[in-house]
Amino acid sequence: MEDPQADSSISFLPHLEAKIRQTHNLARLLTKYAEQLLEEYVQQQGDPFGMPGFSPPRLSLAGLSGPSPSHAGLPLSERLRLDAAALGALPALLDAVRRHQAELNPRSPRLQRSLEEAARQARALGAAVETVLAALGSAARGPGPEHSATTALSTANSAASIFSAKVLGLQVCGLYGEWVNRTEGDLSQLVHGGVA
Amino acid sequence: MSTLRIWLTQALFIFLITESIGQLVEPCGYIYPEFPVVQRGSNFTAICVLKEKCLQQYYVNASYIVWKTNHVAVPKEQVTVINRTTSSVTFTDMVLQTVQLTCNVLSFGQIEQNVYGTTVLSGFPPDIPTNLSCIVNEGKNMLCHWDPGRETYLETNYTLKSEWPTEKFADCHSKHGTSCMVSFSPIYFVNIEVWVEAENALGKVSSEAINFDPVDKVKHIPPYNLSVSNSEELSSILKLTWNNSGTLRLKSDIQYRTKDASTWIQVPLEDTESPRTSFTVQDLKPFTEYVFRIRTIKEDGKGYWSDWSEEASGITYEDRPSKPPSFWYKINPSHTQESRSARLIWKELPLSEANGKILDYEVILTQWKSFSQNYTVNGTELIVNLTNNHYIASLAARNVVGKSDTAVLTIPSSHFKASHPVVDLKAFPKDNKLRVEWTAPHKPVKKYIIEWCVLSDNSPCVPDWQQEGGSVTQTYLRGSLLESKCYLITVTPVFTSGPGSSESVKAYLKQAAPSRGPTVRTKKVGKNEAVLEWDQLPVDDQNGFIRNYSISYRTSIGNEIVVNVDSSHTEYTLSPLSSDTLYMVRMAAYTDEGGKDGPEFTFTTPKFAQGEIEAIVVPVCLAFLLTTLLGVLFCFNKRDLIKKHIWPNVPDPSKSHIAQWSPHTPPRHNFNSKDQMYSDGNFTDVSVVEIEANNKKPCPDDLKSLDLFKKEKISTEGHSSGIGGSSCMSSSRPSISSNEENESAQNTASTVQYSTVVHSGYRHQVPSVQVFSRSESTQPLLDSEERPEDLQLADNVDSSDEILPRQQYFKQNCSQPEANPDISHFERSNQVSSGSEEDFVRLKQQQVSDHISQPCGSEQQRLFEEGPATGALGAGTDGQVEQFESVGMETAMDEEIPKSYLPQTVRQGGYMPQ
Repeated sequence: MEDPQADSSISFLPHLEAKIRQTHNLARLLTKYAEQLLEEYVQQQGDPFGMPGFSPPRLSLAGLSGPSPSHAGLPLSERLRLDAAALGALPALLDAVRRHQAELNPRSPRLQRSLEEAARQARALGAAVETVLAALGSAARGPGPEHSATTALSTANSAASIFSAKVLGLQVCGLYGEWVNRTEGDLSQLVHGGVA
Repeated sequence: MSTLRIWLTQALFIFLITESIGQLVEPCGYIYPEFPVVQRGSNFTAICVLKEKCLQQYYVNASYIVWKTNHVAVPKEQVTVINRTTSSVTFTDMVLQTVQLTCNVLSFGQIEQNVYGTTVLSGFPPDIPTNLSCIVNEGKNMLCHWDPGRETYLETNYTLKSEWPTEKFADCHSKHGTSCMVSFSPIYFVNIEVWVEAENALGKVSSEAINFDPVDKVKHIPPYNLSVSNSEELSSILKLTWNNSGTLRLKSDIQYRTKDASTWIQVPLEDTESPRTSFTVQDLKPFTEYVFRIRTIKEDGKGYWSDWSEEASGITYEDRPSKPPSFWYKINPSHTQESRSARLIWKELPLSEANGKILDYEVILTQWKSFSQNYTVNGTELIVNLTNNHYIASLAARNVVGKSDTAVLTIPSSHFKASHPVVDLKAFPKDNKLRVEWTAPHKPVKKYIIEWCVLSDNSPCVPDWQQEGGSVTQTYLRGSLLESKCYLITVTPVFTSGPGSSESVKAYLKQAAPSRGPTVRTKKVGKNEAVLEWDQLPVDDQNGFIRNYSISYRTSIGNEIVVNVDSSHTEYTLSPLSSDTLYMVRMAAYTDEGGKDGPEFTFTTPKFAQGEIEAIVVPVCLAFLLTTLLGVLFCFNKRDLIKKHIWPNVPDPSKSHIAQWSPHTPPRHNFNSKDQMYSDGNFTDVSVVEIEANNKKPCPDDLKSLDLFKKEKISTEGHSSGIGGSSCMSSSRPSISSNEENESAQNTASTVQYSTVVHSGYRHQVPSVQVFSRSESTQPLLDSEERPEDLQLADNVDSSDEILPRQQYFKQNCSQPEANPDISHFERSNQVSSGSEEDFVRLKQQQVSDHISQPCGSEQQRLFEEGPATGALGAGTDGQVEQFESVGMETAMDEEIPKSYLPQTVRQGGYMPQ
């Protein structure tokens, strides 16, 4: 007697591969968008952010950090779960940065729109990765980090100066790029390595 | 203070007015439903409820309600009174989109007052939107289209809804009902679900949701910065470079064409499937300008092709001319014995064959078995002086890359006789060009030279020409040809030994109606026909081949007659025509494309044909002349008779001899006067035979006497004694009659004289006294006088005169001069003009008259009456002969005799009737 679940998995594979490929394309597209966002953000913040050799101080964001060097050594599913978690936290941070930029650079609606789209894109990519994880049988962590990250950014915003707010925004945009890029790499391995 | 008072008064007035209006505008009832919307075609019921206070105020109830739609009362069949305050109205099959429904009451039973009104709308619930599709124009937001279905006739809201599985997007409300552009940028590679909701007063529906990845609905921005570059190494390639928008992987679609072409050449899509921003197009023509354009689509083909990019052009690099120029020559006709001038001509190479810019042409002229001369020419002709010998000319074009092959042309000696022309040469328009076809001669042809020029009377034939290969037998004329121009096309085959004979043909690129019509004129106009002639139209006015002429002619009141005439004719005879009629003639010339009328010409046909008048007048004149001549001849021949009848000599009674004689007075003493009487010599003896009408047959005695007379006449012929008849009837004129009777009478008259015995009265008057005239003649008596029986017979006849009218009698000077004075006068005047011959005659008559004047007895008179009759017959005209011969024919004589009257010749020596 045939296993009906096996049949469904067989028919599901093409759709999963397409979904993985689509998610990978999205991650690759967002990688470019993240680079453009970072450039645009730096351009809009004025000196010294655009000056060569400027090295902003590294501030800590509660609930979200950059990918660790050991990220590559983790299993792919684990990495994807970390990616999904980070992408889940980034929209709130990007929205917080957009609100700050609305106050700091009200005459830069394009940046605000880019930040808004970046938040939506991060949310879409996170949802796509979670879908892939779900399809692969792995559960995502859930939206926990988003709340903590937003809290951390708002705390930092209240305590820091305008410069510190710009630096935090720069750091969020940077993190967005790092995680999108990391996700694209992880999905690339999934695409080239196959679902199995 | 006063101002305040006025203000308070106004405020109070306004307050009171407002209160009253508030009470007035309060309706006496309501219509339910208050804002009805009805589905079209369905039934609808409305009710009107009156307020109690209005019932009492206006003394009405629900039965007083009058429903109106669009100011027209609703039939009572549709109205129902529910109770004393409520009335309902029902409409079936609502079709009008908008109906103004009012509830009215007849206050006090007759005054119609509006209670309430509302607008009833009808329409349809929205259909489910179908065919929902979205397009993402790169750089813009997503735009979705759908089909809303049938018209609802109601205000319907369409809302485009979109969402991710994890997020909903803002609704897009359509203003047009068929499309809507979302307010957010689509995110590629994330599926989105989109659907449309439609809602109006009659319902709300949603379309089927579509789920798609926006990246598969993208229409990209066209490629930009397209540039074209050539390669010096390869004259057949051009390299394209461009930029694509976005970050997506795109495939391209490249098209190109030559600059002057209108159709595009497609680069195979397989060659541009992979994403790229450059491409090299191969197999292009050297030194040719090409135009390129590109569009893109997502690599997998999903989505929409972008619009075409802006066009970019580039020119391939030069190559050496691929063909030699067309080469021909013309010999100057005015050459001398030793040399001749030749004009070598050639055509510029077309760009497709020049493969670059032609720098110059190299011409090598080689005389037969002699040295060569090289020429470098920048233009397209070379004039050289040649001897009469055979030459070979070669031509090559040169550009920056190299030199073309050479075109060789043989120029034969001046004594060369061309031959072998093409046959069946035809030229006709085709595809808006002139096509020339011919049949090649039997001899192998190296090439053909086709020359053509416009035939015109105003300008010389300036030929253009082109060259065709030796295997070609049909071609189109290359050059700017004009419509309505006659082209003379000449085809010359060129053999290895030289050019052959030429053949020519005429052709039009496109014919048109002639510019003007022929001018017609009359060459000859006859009574019933006219010969028209005209000149051939000049070739500049023909505008085509004249196929035929039409001649329209008409009179001022007649119908127009149209005659078609072949184009080869230049004259035509109109026939039949009416004489003496004005004709208007107009002539038109026709080509294949129409005709053109010439000026109208008028002519008038003559009343008579040429020579007709002469044909009438001449015969008439000839007939008249002939008649006149015959009349003259006749008159000449019968002049005596005519004279005798028309103007006879009337004797003058005053000279009458007997007038001087009296029975009581012996006349002897008058004898001496004879000479005096006759001395005038003018005497014409006219005897009259008067035959009175007699219905009876002639008496046998008369016939007997007539026979006797005839016998006497015969016997007279036998005698030469000269004894003749009475001087009264004998004519002294020599006889012009040829009969013997005349001769007999003549002889007798010239020899016998008798006296006259008046036997009876003149004109039936019986003389009361017998008058005797004694003859003094010494001549012997006639036979009758010697025969008493004859005389007796005459007496018997005379004795019967009293009972029967005389049958005939002979009477000298029978008429009375008084009875015809005119005639006597006329005669007298004529007597003066009588000629000598007549005088001679008259002389004899005088002699006769002298004898007659002698007295004689009654018997003698009888005989005498018959005697002169014979003499008169002999000396008279034929008419007299006829008259005499008809004596015995009583029927002919009955009418003539009583009327017959001839004036007597009265002369001296005659007698006057008593």
